[in-house]
Amino acid sequence: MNDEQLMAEVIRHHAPAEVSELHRRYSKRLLGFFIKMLGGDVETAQDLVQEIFLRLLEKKHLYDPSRSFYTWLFTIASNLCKTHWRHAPFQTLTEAHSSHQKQMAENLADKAFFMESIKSGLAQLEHHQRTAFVLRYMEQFSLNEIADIMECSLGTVKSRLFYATQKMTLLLKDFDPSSESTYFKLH
Amino acid sequence: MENDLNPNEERFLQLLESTDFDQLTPEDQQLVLQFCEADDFRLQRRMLLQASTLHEDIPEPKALVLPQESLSFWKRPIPLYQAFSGIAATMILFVGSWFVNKNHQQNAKPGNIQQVRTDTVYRIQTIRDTIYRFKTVRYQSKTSDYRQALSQHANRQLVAVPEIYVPVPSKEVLHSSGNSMGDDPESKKLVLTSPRHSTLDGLAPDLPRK
Repeated sequence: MNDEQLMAEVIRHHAPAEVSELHRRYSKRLLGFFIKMLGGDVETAQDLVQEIFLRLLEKKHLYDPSRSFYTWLFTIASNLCKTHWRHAPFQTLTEAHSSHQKQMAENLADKAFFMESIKSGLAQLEHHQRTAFVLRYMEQFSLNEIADIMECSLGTVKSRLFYATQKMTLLLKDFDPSSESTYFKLH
Repeated sequence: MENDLNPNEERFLQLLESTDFDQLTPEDQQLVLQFCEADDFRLQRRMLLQASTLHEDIPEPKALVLPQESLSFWKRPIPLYQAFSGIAATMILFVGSWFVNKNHQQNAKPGNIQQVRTDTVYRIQTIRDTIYRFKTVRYQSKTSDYRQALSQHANRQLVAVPEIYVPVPSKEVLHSSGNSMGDDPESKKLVLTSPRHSTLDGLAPDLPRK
């Protein structure tokens, strides 16, 4: 059975077996999405994976069968992240950033530094920009799928990606510019 | 920030996602340089490529724990004695209502006419269909009383009206020219010739004296 058929069974019979099957198919990818959105917070990401399947059971009547189950699931995931982001204390971001600055000073020549700076830059993006960035460049969704997940137009998705990329570049340029040519050379 | 991109910005984003700076055509390179320097473009491109490898080591998700479904009213278990009590009560109600219905139906059959012998009939109520209303009218002569009342009223008027003598003025008084008595020779005559008479006597000699 495909995803939509499984979901139809869930709607009709509240079938736990079908929900478990959907969990088996998507839990790992959802976990990866949550980890990236939350900046590496695995424990919270695990909780959100549990919560998303509970919400799926609660909100099953809202599922539109004409819509792809996959994108609908990620819409719920995106909304969950937004809710979590609103309730998360602001200190988390600033603490993460300051610790990152310290680490940056210590490991300026380290290869992993670049990855850390991407993480830091990602954490400083606005929620809708971060969601678009993660879905596009980390989860490899198409632009149309992102528009469907974020419930906005294709033009809006492109705009969010464009400005997210510009902002990330500015944050990365805050680091030692002279070392860019050495360390950021393309392979 | 939510506005749609212009065509150049869209093209820039497309190039950023797909092609390295060194592999761009000269026209595309010119377009890219409108937005940023070549190094910045390389930096952005590297960032996008590296981002896909970020958080690659994803742990296994926890097993799904679904909450136990709350049973509906009809699926909820009950003790055995409650079930038997319910069944017994239902049967008693059913049998009782069946007997009542049976008796009622036998009595209500259209052909079922029963003769009952009686030796005494009691009249319980009388229902009247016509009611008469009577009215007594008395006629009385009022002539004598009326006359008596009229005469009393007339006497009362006679007593009430005072006797007033109203003098009638003469023509000379009515049509006097307004001269003073000193200028009028007749007036002087009156005053001189009859000092004992009143002015009224002189002016109206034709009026009857009382």
